[in-house]
Amino acid sequence: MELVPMVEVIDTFAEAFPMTAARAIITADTAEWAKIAARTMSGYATSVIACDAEAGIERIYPPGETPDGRPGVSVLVFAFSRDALEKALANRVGQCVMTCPTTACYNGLSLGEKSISVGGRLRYFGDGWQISKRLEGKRYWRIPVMDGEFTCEERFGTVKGVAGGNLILLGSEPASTLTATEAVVNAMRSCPEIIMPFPGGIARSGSKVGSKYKKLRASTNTLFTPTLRGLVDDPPPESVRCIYEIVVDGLTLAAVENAMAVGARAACAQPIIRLTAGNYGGNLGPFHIRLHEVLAKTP
Amino acid sequence: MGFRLVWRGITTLTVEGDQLAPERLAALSLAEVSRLPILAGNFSAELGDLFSVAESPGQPSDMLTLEGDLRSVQSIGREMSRGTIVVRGDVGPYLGVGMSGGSISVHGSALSWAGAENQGGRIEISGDAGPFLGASLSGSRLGMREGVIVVHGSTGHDVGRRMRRGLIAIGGGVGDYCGNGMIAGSILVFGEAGRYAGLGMKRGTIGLFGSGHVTVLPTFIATGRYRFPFLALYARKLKEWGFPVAREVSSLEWERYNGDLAERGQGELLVAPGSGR
Repeated sequence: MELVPMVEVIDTFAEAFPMTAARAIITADTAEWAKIAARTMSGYATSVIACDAEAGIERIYPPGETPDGRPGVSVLVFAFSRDALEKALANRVGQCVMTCPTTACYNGLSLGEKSISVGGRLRYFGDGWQISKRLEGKRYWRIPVMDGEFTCEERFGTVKGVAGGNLILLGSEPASTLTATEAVVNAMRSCPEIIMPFPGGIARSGSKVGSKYKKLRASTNTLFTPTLRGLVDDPPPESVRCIYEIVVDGLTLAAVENAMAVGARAACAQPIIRLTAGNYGGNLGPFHIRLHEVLAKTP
Repeated sequence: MGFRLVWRGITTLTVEGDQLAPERLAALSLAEVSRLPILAGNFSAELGDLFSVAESPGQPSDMLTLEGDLRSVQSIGREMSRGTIVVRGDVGPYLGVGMSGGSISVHGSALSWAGAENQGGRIEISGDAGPFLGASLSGSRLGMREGVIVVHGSTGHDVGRRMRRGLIAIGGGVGDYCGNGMIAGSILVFGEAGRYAGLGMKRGTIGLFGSGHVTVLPTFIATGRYRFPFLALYARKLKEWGFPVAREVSSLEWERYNGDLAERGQGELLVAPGSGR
């Protein structure tokens, strides 16, 4: 039996902040095309530091659970304001979903006053040949395209979500640390209402706020950069050669806390040295998710 | 508490039933409801003369139950905006005409003009419906403008004439001139279709999903076979309302004809592959 070393869990917190979120349910004739559209739509959407939104695949829907009964994938999209979210979502659905063979796109949240227009913006692509269908207060646009038509719901609901939940895994050497982080991400993928927007759910270039260069809003997180040992204050322990971060955005604080709890428990079973979380001294976000507290919660 | 009205069957004259709407009875006492004036032919009668009126304990105050052979009673639920009417028996013409909200459920059949010029709400008829279902009234420019009409049986001619918006779903067959002059909206027919479907339609959807041959007007042009995701949205909603929709409707390809090219030509006829022309 392989021995698993004890993992040191630092008594600290992840500092999360509110972001406006929407859920898009993408369907297609096959599950593969729905996934392709969802992956394309959530590309270049890792961090609002330099992207218009943070986005990722939330879950895969079997046929029968989607609005039109076809295989589907839901994508969560987060932005700093409703206006920014509307622009980002309409652009992404227009360029990445409408262009993808056989797809349709539906709202996945309840509609309230704070909804945004998506199909309502994309309909103009139909150049006057678009068809509107209204059913039970919801409007759908059928936009003629080269393989038939693209169906898109006019309005998408939004919620005040929570972004910036995170776990930071410190390991002794890169290969095993990456494998361990992959295992943690896989465990967290089962959690509802969250996404992990970085590539494969993992970020290797964790950032701090600001830079010596005035134009930069963020720069490499020197506290977690092993190669800067001896050059900066508070470097990681000598035994640490590799660090990965998992960032979690969720529709609710509870969803982010739950995902972090699942991830933290999974991390404690991995051959890593230390588990911690990133924060900015409590000055950036109102949500402080403490590692020890989420670990103490009953799974 | 709501009211239960049982038809006494004492006259064959046409009875104006436009008082028979929940919102017009909700604030009245049992005695006041019984004394409501109602026209039978040229004669003025009281509601209690024609119906046995009783309160319905346990039913909400905005619910009205009608029972009996009401084929001589017209305009039941006319222009109603809220509440529920349940009819156990057949009803006369102009059922729910101009209604804007609430629901009417008929466990029987309806004569002509049911749901004509509706602006909202839902009508469900378990039997058949006569001609001009959801149509424009004579001399009027617009038919049904919003809402839902579901007929489990068959219907007559001119269903959805000049319809502007909304959904009509018909489980059985439909007569000639279905969607005549249709401006927009959706008519879904799951039985046999009559002739001249979509004549003069400008926009909107007529789905003729029955297995029989469909005579498509020469002013419609075939565009090919496609699968339409929006049909699944309708199918799901219709199932929620208890209307049986075969799974194939949302999963199969349908042949689409654009027309009527004599008008704007932005309407569509959807028919089973190979069954049209």
